[in-house]
Amino acid sequence: MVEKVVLLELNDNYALAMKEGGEVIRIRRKGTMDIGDEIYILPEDLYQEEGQTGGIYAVGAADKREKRTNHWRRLTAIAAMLALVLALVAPQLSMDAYAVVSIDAQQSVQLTVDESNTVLDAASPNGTIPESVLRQLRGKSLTELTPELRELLGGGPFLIAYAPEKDTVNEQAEAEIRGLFANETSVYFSCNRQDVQSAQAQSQTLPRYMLSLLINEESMDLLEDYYDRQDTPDTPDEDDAERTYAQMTLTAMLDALKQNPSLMQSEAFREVLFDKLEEEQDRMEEQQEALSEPADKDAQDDDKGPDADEDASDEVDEDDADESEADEDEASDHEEDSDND
Amino acid sequence: MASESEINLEHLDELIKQHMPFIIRTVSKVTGRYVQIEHDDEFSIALSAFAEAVDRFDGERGNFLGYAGLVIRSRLATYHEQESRHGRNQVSLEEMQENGLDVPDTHHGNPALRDEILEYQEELKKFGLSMEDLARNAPKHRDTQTRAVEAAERASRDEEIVAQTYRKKKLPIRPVAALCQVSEKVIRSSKVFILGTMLVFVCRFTGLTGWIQETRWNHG
Repeated sequence: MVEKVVLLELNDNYALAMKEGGEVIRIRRKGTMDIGDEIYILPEDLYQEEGQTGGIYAVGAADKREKRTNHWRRLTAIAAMLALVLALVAPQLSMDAYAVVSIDAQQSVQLTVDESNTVLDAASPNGTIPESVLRQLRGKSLTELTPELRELLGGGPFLIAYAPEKDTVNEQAEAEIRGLFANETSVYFSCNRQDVQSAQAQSQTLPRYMLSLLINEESMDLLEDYYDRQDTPDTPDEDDAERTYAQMTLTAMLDALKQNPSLMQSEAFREVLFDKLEEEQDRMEEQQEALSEPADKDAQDDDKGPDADEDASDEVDEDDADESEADEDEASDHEEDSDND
Repeated sequence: MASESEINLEHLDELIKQHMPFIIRTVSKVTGRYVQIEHDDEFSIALSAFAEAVDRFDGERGNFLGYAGLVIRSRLATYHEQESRHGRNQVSLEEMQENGLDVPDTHHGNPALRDEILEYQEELKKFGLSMEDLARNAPKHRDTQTRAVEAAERASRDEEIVAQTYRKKKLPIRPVAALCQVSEKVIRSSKVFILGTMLVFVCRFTGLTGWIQETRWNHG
């Protein structure tokens, strides 16, 4: 069988080519080849990785191998990072330290607390809270500090992550943390010590790291694969359900999920939840960018040519659109919260 | 395989069609490279040698393919001899370069398509994708591929979906599924392919569009 392909990319051992219909395949290197060449290929020209026995190159098998190799590489890299981070984190989690509480809002703060939730140490991950202010938090209980923290963090919604140093959790202490900002929009993440280390390794705050785990592309794919395997049929009520979920706040959805984990079987629920989480992350990223923007902006503007100005205006429009979306969401969140109250 | 009685010039078109893999394989073995679809001198010579073999084949003197292969290899060898003899009378590229003369581009590829593909690679990068990702996520069945191309084409014409795709840097599955009136699962299972294909349409990469829609030969 002869097929016509156009060469897209040349690698050391093989080339990538597009078949008629748009499928991209791997073919063997042969003689002089250049991107854009339109050539005939035969079945024996399909690239087959070394070690494979017979047949056409099995994309799935190679991918699994590649994923496995990447997985080990990633694990090794993480292990190395963890070893480094452990050395930095260990002093912070001293004998008295019982847990780490990390809160993200417009500002971020990471607190080391004892078993009665008294602050032993406070840090500002993005360096926006002065050391003198952080020092004043020490020695006070978190419940006592709640109004002060609300003001310090610039108001909600709040992302709260709680990571006890040991495996056993003092339920009362955790409930107290969970109840911080109970009357406002907040999302609570229950974490462990390893999450703290991973977040630090990725230079992220703990809540943001937990959020990224939830909406990580790979985990989404895993989740999707899992539900595809279950072959969950789309129910006729999915559209109605989707409209209902869309009106819920992120917190309400997460709470509902906690009560009823089987909600994840609903495609509508998953889609709306992931959309809301992404919006939340976009909003946080925008805030982060806004904080670091003034210093960089002038320099960037100077570098841009006339074409770049057009792109920049597009970006501004998009950002505005995103912000207004986020504002709308926030507004509706507040409305709902006040209704609840 | 044609019977011996059918090996004559009356059936030449059919014979060429039937033996195309054999002709391409023979040329590729002799030249050590792939056969270009257009402007391939060796392939033209091989086709004419094949016609010669059909015309001169005598069933009593052995197997047709063995004979056709011999004729093709022989004609290609003659062509290469002539080319190298012709080349000896010419100034080498190195000599031309040393003398500061412009070196003609002897590559028969398609520079416009090449530039388009390089631009496409850059566009894919904006979405964290590479050609390798497209190869990894290619739909395995022809029907799935056709449906995915249709979805990509429709989505590329919807301004809101295009804007959302560029804003979120990923394919908005729900709106695309709604637009194409298929389940989200269908879109999700081919999301990388659909996004990659959609970008070809959105950016109006006409050469690649021709490949995807299999219409390029109609446009010359």
